[in-house]
Amino acid sequence: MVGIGGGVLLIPLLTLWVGVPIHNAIGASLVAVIATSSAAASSYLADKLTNVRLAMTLEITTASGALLGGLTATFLNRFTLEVVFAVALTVLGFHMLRSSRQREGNHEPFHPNSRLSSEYVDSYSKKTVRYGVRNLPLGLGVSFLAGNVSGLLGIGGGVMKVPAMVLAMGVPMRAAVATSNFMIGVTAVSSAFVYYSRGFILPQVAVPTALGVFIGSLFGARIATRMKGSRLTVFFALVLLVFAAQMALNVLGIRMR
Amino acid sequence: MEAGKKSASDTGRDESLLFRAVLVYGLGISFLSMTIGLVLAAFNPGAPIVPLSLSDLITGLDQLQPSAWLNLGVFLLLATPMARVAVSAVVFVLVHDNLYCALTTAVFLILLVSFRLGVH
Repeated sequence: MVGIGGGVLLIPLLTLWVGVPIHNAIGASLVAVIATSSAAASSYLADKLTNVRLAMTLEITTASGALLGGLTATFLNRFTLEVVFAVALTVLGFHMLRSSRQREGNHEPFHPNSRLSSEYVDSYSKKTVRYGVRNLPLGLGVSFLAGNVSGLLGIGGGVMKVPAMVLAMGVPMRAAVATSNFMIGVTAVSSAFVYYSRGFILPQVAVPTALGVFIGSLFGARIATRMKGSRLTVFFALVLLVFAAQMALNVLGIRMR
Repeated sequence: MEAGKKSASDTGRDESLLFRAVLVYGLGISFLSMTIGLVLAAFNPGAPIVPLSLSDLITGLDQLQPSAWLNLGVFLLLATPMARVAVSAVVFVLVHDNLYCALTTAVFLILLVSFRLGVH
């Protein structure tokens, strides 16, 4: 709905409300993230919004980051992982509150000699938007971090990739969201195999979650188009902060439902 | 370079549709397998549902174990982005884009490392 894969909401829901251990919740979330991002990516591909070459380039660092993140997470105990997750939710919540007015960066001009340059037809204005890509090393660095966070916490990492592409690399917002979704499947798979091998992907949790989130995302996309974007972001930011507080209390041994 | 530039605009359309097909069919057969698993589980309430290794999974499919079909669904879902990367590598070979073929192969190798570390 707001461009986040849903993992960030799923994990607190599964751990705090359903009582699933956090490692299994992360495993289930990764599976759900692959389902929703693949579905989203396929519709963006049909609209020709995805910059495939940029995605392939950034996938190198994001996949290796995710692999490392996944390995790290399997060595952390439940307590440490919950603390890390509570901190991440807080940071993300405040970040969303601040950026609730979505800013567009300055588009990088089209470079005819660069194979990363791309174009798409904007569905509102019916105009062809041509753009280039700048600051590739910074983008590669952020992608590595996003992959790391994704593997560690079981989220897609789009929440880091999209702002990096828009603000630092000069990619238009719509192309950035499409390209990020195209990459998320690969990011999530890099760490999902690690979780799979450790037996952290419980089919009885992962399958209903993946199917449920997939169906939910179909409805979510419809509701989202009828709501004002900035209000939606503020709402989700507040939900994240509530979850962060609950997770923190949970770590301290206080259970609230 | 000239060939690569040309391919970026000329074959962009077909590439997108091919990647889209891989994702859609991957999701479709994965969800189908998950649904079969759920139906089997509904008819065998006592059957254990546990994570399975790839080899146990394959033997379980024959015996219509709900667990095997659910695990297969998860496994096919994980294989979908991997298949997309493999197809991309082939596409870049066909359009003679060596740089992107190398990059995509590198991504595939990282996924293979993860797979080797992961699935036994």
